[in-house]
Amino acid sequence: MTPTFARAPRVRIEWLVISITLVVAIAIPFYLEKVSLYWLHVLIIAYFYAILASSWSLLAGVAGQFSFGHMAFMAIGGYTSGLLGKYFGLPPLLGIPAGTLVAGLTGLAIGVLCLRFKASYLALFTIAFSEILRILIRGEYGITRGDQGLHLEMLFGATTSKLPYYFTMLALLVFSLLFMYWLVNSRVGLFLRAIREDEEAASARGVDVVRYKLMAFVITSMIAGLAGGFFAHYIGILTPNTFVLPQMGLVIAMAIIGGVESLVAAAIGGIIIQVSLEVLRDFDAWRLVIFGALLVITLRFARNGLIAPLLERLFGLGPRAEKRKKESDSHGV
Amino acid sequence: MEFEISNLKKHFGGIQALNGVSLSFSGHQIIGLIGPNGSGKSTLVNTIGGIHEPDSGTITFNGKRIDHLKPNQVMQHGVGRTFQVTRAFRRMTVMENLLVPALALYPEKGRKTWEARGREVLDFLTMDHLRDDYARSLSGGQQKLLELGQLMMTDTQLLLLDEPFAGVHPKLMESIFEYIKVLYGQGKAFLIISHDMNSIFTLSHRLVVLNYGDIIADGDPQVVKYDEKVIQAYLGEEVEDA
Repeated sequence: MTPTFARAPRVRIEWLVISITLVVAIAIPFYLEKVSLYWLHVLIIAYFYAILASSWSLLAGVAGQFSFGHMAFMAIGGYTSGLLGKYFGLPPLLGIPAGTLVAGLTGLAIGVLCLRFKASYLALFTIAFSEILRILIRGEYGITRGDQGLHLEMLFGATTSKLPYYFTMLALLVFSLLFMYWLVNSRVGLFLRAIREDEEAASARGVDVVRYKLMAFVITSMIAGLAGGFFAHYIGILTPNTFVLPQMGLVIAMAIIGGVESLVAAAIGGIIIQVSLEVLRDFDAWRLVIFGALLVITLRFARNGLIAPLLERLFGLGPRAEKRKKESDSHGV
Repeated sequence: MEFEISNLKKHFGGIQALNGVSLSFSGHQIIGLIGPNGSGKSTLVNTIGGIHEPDSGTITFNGKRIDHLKPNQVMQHGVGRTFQVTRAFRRMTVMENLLVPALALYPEKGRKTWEARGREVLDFLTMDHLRDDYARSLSGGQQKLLELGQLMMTDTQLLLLDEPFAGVHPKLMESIFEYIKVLYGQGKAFLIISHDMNSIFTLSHRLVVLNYGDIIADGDPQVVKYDEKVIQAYLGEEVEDA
């Protein structure tokens, strides 16, 4: 058998899986709208968490920068849009980009302060930043409505259908994944991975470490802010509880259980865990114990998560698969 | 090529690691840098390479000050280094390891051009068959070669090699030895730290000996070999054996 025949099925499987996934993702909301609006809502939220988990995996898994502020940037996106709408009458379609921009600028300011130092500074700083922001929003009741919640205009006005929200969040997920995939496969991605491996050695090889760390931090902050803006205008209310630290822990768990070095695996991890948390709702607090145990087991025995190895096997990714492919090429394909 | 270090000082807490080191050369040379453990050799290379900031003194390369620059900026000036304990990017392939410095310094040439150059470099180092392997799967000696390859990808004029022969299989050590000579023939200059006395005495055109942050001898290796201060610094054994 020639290598051509050996490789052909893998290419077909790749496209088959992507096609089936897209068809199911497009068809399922029409079915769910008839049988269960609740599960349609769960899927929208799952896509939201998939965006957060995959963008956090770009920062932590690809660039090696551990931030606990991702949910805070999400909240900055949402609150900025909400407050601009409340006080200046800005519509969501302008408020969401403004929130994305503010999240990016905040990320830039934090990055300039922290990213010259070792990774642990960023982790500690972002924990403190998240808590300060949460306490500030809670305390400034007159502006933010605190724990009462900031009411926001719905993105699609008075429509009661969840379909527009579903497709918007799905599109946001797909486009953010495509953008991040492009970034990871560009020279910027190469530098980010080198920085993850060894910052000092990357610098000694000519990489402007602070610049690229800052770039990754600002981009992921903006993606979180964008997702936060859409989320806020879908839910219609924002409270400081949206971004308490345990919520950040949930996003981290999603990325790690999926596979923190793979954007797609982290996104799938986000979807599976969010849906599973709802499926296991009858278990009450025990469901969190189950996921906590799963996280510990993953960290101990599967450092690249549970989904990423499956994707590697299915799509023939990774350097070994590349090597096999090139070897088969050199055998006269 | 002009390189000059003038009165370079560096301390860590109460320890004076470099105590006014001065060293210069023009043209391309292979300079050996030896000295007992803790004499300041790695500190000197780290300070030239931008990892440590000097307390005082200057470093100039081809007329430009390179002290107080970040490591990536030092690299842009044509001064590259390897590490005592290899620091290849372990979870990246050999080819990706080569692409990092090339694309960082010359992004305009594009990835395909650099991949072709990477193949040439790997051919030269007889490592082409390993190009798609993770760097972590390479032996210590192969990782040393990979670091050398990373410097060959760019227009590095002065190569600072920190213990290139340490922990390397004798056959690979011979290869590294030969590659250094070939690259020297192409006009590159070397500053090589080594505890392998046979190699460093054979390879170097000039030998500099550091002890407690001071240069205690500097000159022809065959003369330095019998310098009393050097023999005393090494307790008489290693140098005489060499």
